[in-house]
Amino acid sequence: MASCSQNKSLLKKLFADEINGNEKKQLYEHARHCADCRSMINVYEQLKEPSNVLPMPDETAFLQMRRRLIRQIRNKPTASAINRMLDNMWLWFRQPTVAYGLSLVLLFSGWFIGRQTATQSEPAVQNGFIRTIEYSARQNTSLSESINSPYIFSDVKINALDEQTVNIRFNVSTHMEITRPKSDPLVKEVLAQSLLQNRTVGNRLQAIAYSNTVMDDKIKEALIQTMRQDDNAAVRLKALQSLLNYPGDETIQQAMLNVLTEEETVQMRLQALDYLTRNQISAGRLQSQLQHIEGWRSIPVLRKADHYFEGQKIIE
Amino acid sequence: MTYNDTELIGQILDGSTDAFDILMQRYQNLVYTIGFTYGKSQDNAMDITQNVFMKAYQKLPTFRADSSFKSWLSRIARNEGINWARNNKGEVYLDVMENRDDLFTDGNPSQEDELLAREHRAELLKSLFSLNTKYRLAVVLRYYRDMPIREIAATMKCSEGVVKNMLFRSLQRLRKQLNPNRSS
Repeated sequence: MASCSQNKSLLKKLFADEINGNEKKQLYEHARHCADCRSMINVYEQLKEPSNVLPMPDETAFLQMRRRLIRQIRNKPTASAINRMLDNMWLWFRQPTVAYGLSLVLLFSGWFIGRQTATQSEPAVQNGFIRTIEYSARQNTSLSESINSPYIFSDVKINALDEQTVNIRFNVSTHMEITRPKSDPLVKEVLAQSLLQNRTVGNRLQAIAYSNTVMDDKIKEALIQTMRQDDNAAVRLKALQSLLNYPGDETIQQAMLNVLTEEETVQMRLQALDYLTRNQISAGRLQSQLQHIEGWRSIPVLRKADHYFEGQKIIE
Repeated sequence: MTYNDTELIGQILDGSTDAFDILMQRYQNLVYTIGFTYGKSQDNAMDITQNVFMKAYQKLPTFRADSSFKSWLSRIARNEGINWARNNKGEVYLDVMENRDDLFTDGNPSQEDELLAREHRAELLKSLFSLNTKYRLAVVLRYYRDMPIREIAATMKCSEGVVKNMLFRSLQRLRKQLNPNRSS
């Protein structure tokens, strides 16, 4: 049944928060005897409750998003800068001598480019650029060099062609698509950046899934950084699971120890503990790390650790 | 020193990314809320938010001060939300679960009350997301962001009367879905 028709206009005013004191009093008085209006007001008041909020991410997630955007913007010339440059160029072109001179230059350039394209194909030009970024990728031996590389790869899409080769598509000032062996430094460079700098969660998850097929120190380092610092819990968990494929070593062990104290999700802490115990971490080292974890989240972790310590005693 | 939107836009057009960062901070919650209206989960809403700010930055030279920056940005967010929903048809599921890790009731009455309140909020959100997107956006902007009717009308490119009608009909539909006699 529709709401009480006499008071529909008052209800509309209430819902738009444009009702005055007298009208509100009149409406609420009416609602005491009218179940329809009362129930409508009830819904309105539920919506107006201060505790009624949408699920919001914390400020860190917003901060990381803003940083990613600023980084992207700094890597591109601004639209306004381009507009200003075009305006200035237009004023200059309007001078007759410049216009005649430029038309001659354009004529000559057209002839020259036409001659060049007859002998050099477009892929050849692209190959020159690929060689440049490949050279840069070979020079960047550590993860920090990759992150600070002058070439930032974005919108990365990865497609394994067979056991040995991979097709990668990405933007680096222009869109590129190349096929390379998995072990190629450029593949690792693009993959490491896409783990850390991809804008969307979906793309970062895809990069992690693909990273399982490329075992490399730089990728491992990028996975560790993702596991510890990504703002999305699903991405952090996937990175942790990906690291389980690597043979146990000191870097991963230390990262897993850090997860025990830094990570907010219990599930990841338990998986990190599993990894550490499977890799026979010394009881003393584990115990000293466990001293730093606190809060109720620590309870399941400490219980699981107790089982491990008991097992150690039995073996001894 | 606090700059107004127009001053910040001037600085951004002169190449200041710090000014853009301030502008993003100012409107991130609004854009995220519109993103959530279409994306239905935190991750999707963040993706939409990021796309909106990038588009706003690219289109900033075309912004004319005859409308407020807030309405202009909200319109970009709405268009981005519509496009996003169109491109992700059938792959979007509502995720209204709040983090419950911090609540183990242990029979503690205040924590149980808080859990009930969360369930209640989740139920309200589910009903809200069963409305069509136009109605949902009107309700979200009015009651979750406290946006004036005039600005909602500017964002949705319709008259203020249409917005008021949408709010009225939305609440009628929500009433049908929720138990209006629930004791609070």
